[in-house]
Amino acid sequence: MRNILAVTDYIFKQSFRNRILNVLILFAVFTIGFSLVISELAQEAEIKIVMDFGLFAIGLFAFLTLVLSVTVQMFEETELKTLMLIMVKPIKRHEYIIGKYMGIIATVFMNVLIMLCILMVIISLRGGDPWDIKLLAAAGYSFASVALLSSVALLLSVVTTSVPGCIIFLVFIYALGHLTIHLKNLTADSNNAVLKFCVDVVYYLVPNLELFNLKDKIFSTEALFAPGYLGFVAGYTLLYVAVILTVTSVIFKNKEFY
Amino acid sequence: MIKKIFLLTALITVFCCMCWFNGRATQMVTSSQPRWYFLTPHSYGNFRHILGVSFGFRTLMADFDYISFLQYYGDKTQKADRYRKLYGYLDDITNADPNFTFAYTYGSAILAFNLERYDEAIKLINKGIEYNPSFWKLHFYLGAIIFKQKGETEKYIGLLEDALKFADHPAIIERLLGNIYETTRAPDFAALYWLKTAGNSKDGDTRGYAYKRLKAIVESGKLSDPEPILRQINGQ
Amino acid sequence: MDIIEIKSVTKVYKPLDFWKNDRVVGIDNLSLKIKKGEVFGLLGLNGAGKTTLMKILLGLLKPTSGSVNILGSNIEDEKIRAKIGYLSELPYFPKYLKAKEILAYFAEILGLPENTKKERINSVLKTVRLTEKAETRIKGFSKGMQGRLGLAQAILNDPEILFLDEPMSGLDPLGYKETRDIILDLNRRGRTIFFNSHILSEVEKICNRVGILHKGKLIDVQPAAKVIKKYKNLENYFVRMVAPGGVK
Ligand SMILES: Nc1ncnc2c1ncn2[C@@H]1O[C@H](COP(=O)(O)OP(=O)(O)O)[C@@H](O)[C@H]1O
Ligand SMILES: [Mg+2]
Repeated sequence: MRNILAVTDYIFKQSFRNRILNVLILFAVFTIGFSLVISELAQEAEIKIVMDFGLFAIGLFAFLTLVLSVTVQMFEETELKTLMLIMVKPIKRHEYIIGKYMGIIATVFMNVLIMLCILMVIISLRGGDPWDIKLLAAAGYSFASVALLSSVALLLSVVTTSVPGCIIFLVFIYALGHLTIHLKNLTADSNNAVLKFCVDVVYYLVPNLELFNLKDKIFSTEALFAPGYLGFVAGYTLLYVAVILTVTSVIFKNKEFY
Repeated sequence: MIKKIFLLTALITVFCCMCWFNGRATQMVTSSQPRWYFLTPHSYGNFRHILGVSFGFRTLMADFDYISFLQYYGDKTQKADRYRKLYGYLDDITNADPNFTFAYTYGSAILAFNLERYDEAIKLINKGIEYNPSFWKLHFYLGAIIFKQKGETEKYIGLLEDALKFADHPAIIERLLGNIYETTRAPDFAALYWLKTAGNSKDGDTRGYAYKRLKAIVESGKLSDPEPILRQINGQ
Repeated sequence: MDIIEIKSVTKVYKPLDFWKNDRVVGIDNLSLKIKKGEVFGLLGLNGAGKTTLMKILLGLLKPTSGSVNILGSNIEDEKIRAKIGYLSELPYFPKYLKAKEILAYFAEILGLPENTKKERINSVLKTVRLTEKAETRIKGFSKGMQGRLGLAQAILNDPEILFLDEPMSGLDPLGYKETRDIILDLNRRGRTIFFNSHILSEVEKICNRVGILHKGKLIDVQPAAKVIKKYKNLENYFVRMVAPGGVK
């Protein structure tokens, strides 16, 4: 545990120092600028649009934070070979993976929290209700979806050594993750068993990000806010992350450091 | 070896549980979300919407459509052919975000009361009612449009007045109602209404418009008792 | 007691280019035993396989065949790894962290006791003459200073065995002497040092025993005193051994 926390602390500090938080400045400039332009362009629907945009930006910049911190680590590990000195220390390989995962999601969490605060301030300045449960829930689920993606990013960073390859694949997973639920629904009535099987494979392997995308859904307190839904999504997230991190650890355990 | 087999079994078990959770959560989404939510070969005929779906920002795409709709409607050169494509714009918005209730109320008010294209207005409101059954205010608008189509002025005035009682009405309703008052009510009544709107409306353009109308009525000299109104204008 | 035991280790690198079959034999059937308290110097040309061998000893690379024993056990065991120190060739550190933070991180993983941790870090920093730079970010470090920091983290846990891969490269002449002093001091306290270096004059001053690695093969191992006696200095010996046609 002590080892895991040491790694977490280190990764967090490193992301912090690598100016990954500059993403936040970008977010603030983007969102404030957007809300100013919008108030000129779209009278009356302004708050809805600012909220939609803000939530979209939170999702996007959380993803960006993840990509940046994973690539910063990857660059240092593969190009500068900082990992070798750590791997000969008495730390188990899976401890390192878990610590790194926690460090990354701690970074993402802090960024999401700050972005949400900025957005809430903007919304209340524009006369909206910053404590709208829709806003808070959508931001929370955005974080959870990036937490899910982080495990995939970590797996990718262990199996490939190419940073651009890793980024491209992550973006691909990000898009596919939003589409699997639709693919599944499209083929629900199909009789083609092969097609159905392929879709199922994709559906179960790729993170189902659309479960977390509350901002694009009808909000009803009975369905998507029911404890049942929260429970299923939380269970899904935890188990998915557990599976991916286990696989990552096994691969990492056999990894050689050239 | 035994450790490996154990790990593998545990991993597969956890994976299966994960799949089960995924399936159950998906089921809850499927059952709670309306038909439009899911992509079909016919839905989202617009490439930008597909993009919005794949990256999870479909509602934002609807907002952009809404802005281009406003620009189309604000474009005076389109007035000549009476904003022929207006319904197409509204359809785009509400395809991307069927919950955008403001687009239904605003759009149908323009279609019915400004452009007198009742069929399109009713089609739009009905779409809104279908996708937002719990947003009962749309029924008001439907009623008002139908009465307007039939020429039953007093009835639709009553409904529009009711619509004004809710804060989320489009500002265009305030302007419409004032214009209707000017033709159907005494000038004093209309002037008082404009006065109230000029002071209370949330929309800056509408406040300006109300003030302009008020000034026009006062200057036309039709008011039977201008004193209290003039006092209030000067008092403000 | 043999503290390091290498049993017919071979390492064949995977082809760099998937389509070409350009396998490189890094280490070729190498066996070696090192006793507790020895200072062993491994000499070899560039590309001889010195780094490869060291990484195999540390478990960073897996031997294609053969096995390695360290402190009578496997390097995969964390308890063993807690007792060794390693300085890699050209060490790099995350450039936005401070020297002290990096050492604190390593100390945490090494499991140094909480109460003596700070003291230990300070004393190590003093040993490598980085006390003044303790609060500076690595970004402002020269190559040599990074090398010193590398040495500092290697001796942080007062290791039983110290592995040094070209520890002198990039250091100033004073750095040579300091590194030498550190090695000799550890050795006086019964620690084992396994290192490789090009700087033969330094190797000469520290080693008990030297080995020559050539093209992945260990072609000769001799006690240092014997070599000096026979060849006057290491350079003569080395050149004689690795020169084309030098090995009989
Ligand atoms: N990752 C790698 N893949 C393939 N060959 C390698 C790799 N690393 C080193 N080699 C080869 O292995 C041999 C030994 O390298 P190395 O151990 O680094 O030599 P040195 O004695 O200079 O430290 C060299 O011929 C080198 O080309
Ligand atoms: Mg080397």
